[in-house]
Amino acid sequence: MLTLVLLSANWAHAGYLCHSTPQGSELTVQYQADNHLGADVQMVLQKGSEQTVYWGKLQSEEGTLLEQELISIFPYNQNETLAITSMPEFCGRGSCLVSGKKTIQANLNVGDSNLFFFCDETND
Amino acid sequence: MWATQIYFSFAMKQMTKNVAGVGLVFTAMISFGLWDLVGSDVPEVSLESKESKTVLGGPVFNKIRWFQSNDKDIWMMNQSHHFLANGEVKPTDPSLWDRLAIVIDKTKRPHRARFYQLEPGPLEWREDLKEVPFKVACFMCHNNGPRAIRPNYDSPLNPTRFKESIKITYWNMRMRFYGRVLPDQVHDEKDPSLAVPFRFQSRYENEPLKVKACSRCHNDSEESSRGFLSRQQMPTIRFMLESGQMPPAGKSLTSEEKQQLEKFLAGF
Repeated sequence: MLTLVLLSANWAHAGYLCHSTPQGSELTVQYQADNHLGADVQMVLQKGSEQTVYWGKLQSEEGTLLEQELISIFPYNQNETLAITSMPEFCGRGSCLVSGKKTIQANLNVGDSNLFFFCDETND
Repeated sequence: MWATQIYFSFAMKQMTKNVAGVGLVFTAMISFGLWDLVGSDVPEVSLESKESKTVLGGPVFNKIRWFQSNDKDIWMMNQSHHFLANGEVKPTDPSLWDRLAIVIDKTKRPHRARFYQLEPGPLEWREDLKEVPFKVACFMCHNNGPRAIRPNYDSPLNPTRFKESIKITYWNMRMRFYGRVLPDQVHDEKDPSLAVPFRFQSRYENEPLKVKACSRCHNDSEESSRGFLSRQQMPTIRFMLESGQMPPAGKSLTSEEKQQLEKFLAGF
């Protein structure tokens, strides 16, 4: 019981909740608040009643305008990754606010399968 | 005059699509004696931008002027950001118009472009104009120096006059003939200390678009090329695609290239 509580506290910070509309599947990505390079990440992929849990390591490519978080899924395989990108909403020439609203998208590659998601940042 | 306008409109539309159109425009200008309208140091042109929108979705208006000397071309622009989406205008204040400049150094090959955000003021060039911080990273839209001027010809608020459209067409041709234009080295030197840089510097933001149909022209290998497009130009790339201006007329994307482009625009 104590172990469970500790685990729960460890993953109290959620990263993203992503939805893949055509497939109806859902991906929750959770990582520790300190999302430094190499942080542990847990991913839960929900397709109907089927649930798959992945673990991974986080790499972050943080730019000022665009950001990308790349999560390598374990057991490590070069093609098993989740990439999450954030970018500014469409903006016109000379009128784009860097701090404007961002859109977030995710692309989960596991073996030959490729799932594309739209994500929301979560704070719970 | 009717014939002139009809021919010229046709030629301009062709010019935005392919190189053959450039010939049509030249023919039109020579045939109809329009050269005197397009020289340097002529008054500015005023237009509503087809591409730009304010963050609230309102129209953006530009006043553009071109100056030249033996070794430089100077493009100056006043740009408005004070119109609302419904066309209403916030109280007009001259200082609400940005003043921007791109100076092309023609002594170097490829040419070099120096970008300026200047204190608000008229479109008059002097070397000692006071610079102010960039409001937006220039390189997001300008990966190859100045870009073709694209007015909203259907603008109810600022319709483009015939004489202005001739000037714009000539100016666009002039920009096209620059070929490859590199940012002046001063921007790389200054960027680390700027809150809003000239260009975003992370590896991800500078990943190039390598879809074959695009990189035929948008590459770094030839003097006539347009420079690789990168991720930080995604909003501009998306606009050019969605407005049907790219790929140019006569060119198309294969289904594989469409997929590659969609993936790139999604950030992957």
